[in-house]
Amino acid sequence: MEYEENFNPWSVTEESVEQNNICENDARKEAQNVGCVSEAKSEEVVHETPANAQCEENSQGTNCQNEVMNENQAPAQAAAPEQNVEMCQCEAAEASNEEAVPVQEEKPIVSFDEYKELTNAHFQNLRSLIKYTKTKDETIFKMNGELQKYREGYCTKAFKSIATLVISYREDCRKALEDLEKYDNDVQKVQKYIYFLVDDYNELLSNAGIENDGEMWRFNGKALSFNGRKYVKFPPAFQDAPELVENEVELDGEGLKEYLKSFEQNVKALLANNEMLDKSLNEYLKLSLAIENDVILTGFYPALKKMISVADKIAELVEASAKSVTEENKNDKYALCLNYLIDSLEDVLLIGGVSIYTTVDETFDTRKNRLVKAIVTTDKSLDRMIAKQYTECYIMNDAVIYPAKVDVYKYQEQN
Amino acid sequence: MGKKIGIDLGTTYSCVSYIDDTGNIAIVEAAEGGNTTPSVVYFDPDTNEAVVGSTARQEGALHPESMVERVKNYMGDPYYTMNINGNEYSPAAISSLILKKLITDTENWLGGEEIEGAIITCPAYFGDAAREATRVAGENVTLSNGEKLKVLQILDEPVAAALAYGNSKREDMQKRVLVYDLGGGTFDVTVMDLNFVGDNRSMEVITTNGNHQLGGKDWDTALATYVVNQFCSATGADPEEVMNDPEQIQWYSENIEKAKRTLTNKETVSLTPNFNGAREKIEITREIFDQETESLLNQTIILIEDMMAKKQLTMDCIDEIILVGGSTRMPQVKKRLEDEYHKPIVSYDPDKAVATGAALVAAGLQASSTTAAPGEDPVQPVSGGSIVIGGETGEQTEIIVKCTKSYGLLALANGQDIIANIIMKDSEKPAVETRRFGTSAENQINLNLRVYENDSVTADATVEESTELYENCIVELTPGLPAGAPIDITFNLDASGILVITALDVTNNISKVVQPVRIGGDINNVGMDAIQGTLLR
Repeated sequence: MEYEENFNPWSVTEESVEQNNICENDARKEAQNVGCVSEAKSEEVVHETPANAQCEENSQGTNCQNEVMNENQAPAQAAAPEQNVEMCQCEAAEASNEEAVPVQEEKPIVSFDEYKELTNAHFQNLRSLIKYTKTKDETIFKMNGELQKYREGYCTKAFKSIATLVISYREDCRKALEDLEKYDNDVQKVQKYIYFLVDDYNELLSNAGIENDGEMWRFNGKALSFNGRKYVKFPPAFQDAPELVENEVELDGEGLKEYLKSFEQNVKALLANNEMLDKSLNEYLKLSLAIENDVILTGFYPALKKMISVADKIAELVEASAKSVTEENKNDKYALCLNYLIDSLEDVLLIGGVSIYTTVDETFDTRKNRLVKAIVTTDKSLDRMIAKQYTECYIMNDAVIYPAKVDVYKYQEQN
Repeated sequence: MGKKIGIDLGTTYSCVSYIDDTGNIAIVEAAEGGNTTPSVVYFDPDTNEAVVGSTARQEGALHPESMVERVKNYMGDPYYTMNINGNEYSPAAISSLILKKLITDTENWLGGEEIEGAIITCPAYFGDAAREATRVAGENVTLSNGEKLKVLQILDEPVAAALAYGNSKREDMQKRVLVYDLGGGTFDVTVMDLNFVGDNRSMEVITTNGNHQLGGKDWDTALATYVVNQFCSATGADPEEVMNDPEQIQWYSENIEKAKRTLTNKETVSLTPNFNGAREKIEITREIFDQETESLLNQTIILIEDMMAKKQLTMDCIDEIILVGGSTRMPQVKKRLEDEYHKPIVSYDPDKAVATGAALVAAGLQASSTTAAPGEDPVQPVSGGSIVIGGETGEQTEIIVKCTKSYGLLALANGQDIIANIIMKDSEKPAVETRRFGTSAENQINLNLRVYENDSVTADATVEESTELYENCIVELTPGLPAGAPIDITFNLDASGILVITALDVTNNISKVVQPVRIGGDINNVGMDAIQGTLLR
C-alpha cells in the first residue's frame, strides 16, 4: 500500500484543500459569532445575519446551526440543493470531498484506523478552538437548578436585608417604651424623641431602598404601583442539548464517506450546542434581571406597601403628638407613637414571613440568643437560664435572622 | 483521586474553596450557613467538647475564659500557650481545631468525595516558625477516613489574591501591581509582576510588607469612640460607663458595623444611641468617618512607603493597585490610594480572592498529579517547586514566589557578632544555598549552628534586628575528622517558606538532615494530643 506524503483526509485536490481550510476558519468564526462566510460559491454570497441564512436540512435530522439560531422564527425552508445559493461551508467542503476522494471499493488509500485517528484529532482541535467542553452542558443544568431554587426562595432572601433594618428599628422602639417606665425626661426631650421617630423611620426606608421622589414611591429606583399586582413573564424554557452522533464505519469508500459526514454532523451539533449555550446564558441573565425587577416586588409587595403606609401615618401621628405634648401627657403621647410603630412593624414582618419569639424562661440557645451579660448565681438550677430578654428573637424560614439579646445565669460554686 | 482544596485560614474568618467538576470556583458553605467561618474556638467546661465558628462566639460570650479567638496573631510564638479549662494549648493546636471544623464542613459539602490535600494560606510576613506552626496545625487534622490531612503547601495570602486576579483576566498583560489587602484583623501589601503574553504566563512576587494587628475592626472601634463621645457630650453621660456597659457594647457592635457599611454607599448615616433613658441623634458623614480613621489609613500608607524604600522602588514602576479584603470596600481606601499614587485601582472579589487563589493552586496540583510519571509523587508541583495553577480551561500558569525573610548564621566579623545571611529576602522560592564550614578541632563531635531570621535585604544583618529560630541546631559529625574538615551546610527554603537544613560531611560524603530544636521547644504540639481526643460539636 502506498501513502501520499502529507496526506490530508479532507482533501485530495488543490481546490478542495483550499475549501477545507476555509471550512476550518469558518467553524472558528461561527464559534465567535462572527458569521459564516461562504467563499465556496462566490465572493458576493455571505451569511449576512443568522435570520437570513438558510441551510439544507441534513438527513440525520440535525439542523444546521443557522436554523438553531432561527428557532424563534418560522423554520427555514429546505431548499433544493441546486437552488440553495447560501450553502453551509461544511457542505461545500463535503461537495469538494465527494469529487476529491477516490473511490476504491476494495483498497482504501489509508487504513480506517488512521483515517479515524486523523479525523478524531481534527475533531478534538475543533473542540478546543470553540472552547467547548461537555461539562458546560452540566453547568447549564446546574444553573437551571439554581434558578429554580432562586425562584422559590428568592423573595424571602431578598426581604431579609429589609427585615433586619425593620427589626433594629422596632427593637429601638421597644427599648424606648421600656425606658418610659424607668426614666423621667422633661417635655422638651420627649418632644425631641418623638420627632426622632420620624427621622429614624425615614432613614430606615432610605436604607431599605424605598424613597419618595416627590411624585411617587420607588423601590431601588423602580416605581411602585399599588393599583394592581404586576405579573412576571418568564422567557421560554431552555432546549435540551443535542446528542452527539456516532457511527460505525465500514472499510470502504462509502463507509468512509458516511463516517466523515457523521463527523461533520458532530461538529455542527457541537457548534449548535455552543450557540445554544450562549443563548441559554443570555436567557438566564435576562431572567435574573426580571426577577430582580419584578419578582421582588410581586413577592413582598404587600410588606413594602405596609411600610409606606406606616411612613405616612407616623408622620401625621408624630406631628399631632409632638405639638400637643404637655408635662401631664408626655409619656402617653410618646407611648402612642411607639406602640403604633411596634405593632405596625410587627405586621410588616409577619407579612414578610418573619416570626417573632420570646425566649424568656428558656435555656440559653446559641442559635436564638446573643449574650449581653452573665449573671453569676450559686443556684445550679438556674445555670444557663435566661434571666432577662432585651430584644425578641426573629426567625425567617427556620433561620434565625436576629437573635434575642439576653442576660443569662451562670452558675458558680460558692467559695 | 480525591479533591485538593484551598483554605484561607484567617485571623477573624476562614473560608474553603476548590475548583469543581465544571471548572468553576466553588466556595464551601459552613454548616451554620454562609461562606465564612469565624476563627473562634470554644471549649465546653463540663464536657470539654469543642465548638468552632459562630456558635463558639455565642457560647464564649457566656464563658469567655473558655473561648479563644485571633489565635493566628500568635502562630509561631515560641512561648505562647493558652490555658483553657485547665488544659494548655498552643496556637497551632487551636488552629488545628479550626481546620478540623472547616474540613468537616467541606467533607459534608462534597458529599462523600475524599479530600486529598489542602493549600493553606498565611500572611506574607509569616516567618519560618509561623509557617511551620500552620503546617503542623494542618497535618494534625484527621479526615473522616481516618487519614491525616496532607498540607500541600503554605501559600502567601497576597500571592493567592493576585493569582485570583490574574487568572480572572484572559487578555494579554504585562504589568507590575501592588496588592493592598485590608481584612478584618490584618493588613498585607505586596508588589508583584504579572506576565501573561501569548503562551507565556508567569507571576513574580517582588516584595511584601504588612501589619497583623491592623484591620477593619480598628475602623469600627474608631467610629464607635466618636459616636460615644458625641453622645456623651450631648447628654452628659460618662463615656467610660457607656463603653463598659454590656448592653451598650452589644448595641454598638451591631449598629457601628451597619453604619460603616451604609457609608460605603451613602454620604451620611445617623445613629440614635440611648443610655439610661437619654437619646441623641448622631449624624456621621463620610467626611467625619474618614477624619476619625485617617490615622489608621496613614499606617497602611507608611507600610507601603517603607516596603518600597527598602527595595529601592518607587510608585512610578507600579501599573495598577489591586484591592483585596472586605475592608477595602470603604470608599476612603480607594480615594486615598488614588490621591496618593494616581494609579488605576481595581478590586477582585474582596472577600473571596485569597480562597479563590488557594483553590487555583490546589487545582494546579490536581492537574500535575494526573500527568505524573509512574513512581513520581503526584503531589509535587510541576515546575520544580514553583507554583502552578489550573484555570477553568486547563491552562497552567507558573508562579514565581520570593522569600519574605532572610535566613543566616551567627558569625564573627571585625570582632563583632553579625548575622551572615545565606538565603536572602526576595530571592526565589524554593531557595537552596550552601556554605562551607570547617571543623575547628580534631575529632570534633558536632557543630552548633545559630540560625537567625530577619527582614534585611543585605548580606549582613545585626543580631538585634534578627530573630533566632532554634534553641539548638546541632550537626553531629562523623568521628575522627581532622581539624579543618569541610562541612557543607545547606539551607533549603521550600515553596511553603519553611526552612530545612542539611549537613554534608564532605570528607566521608555523609549527608544528614539536621533536626533542630526550636526556641521554646516543641511548642506547636502542646495540646495537640488533647485536640485529637476532643470531640467537635
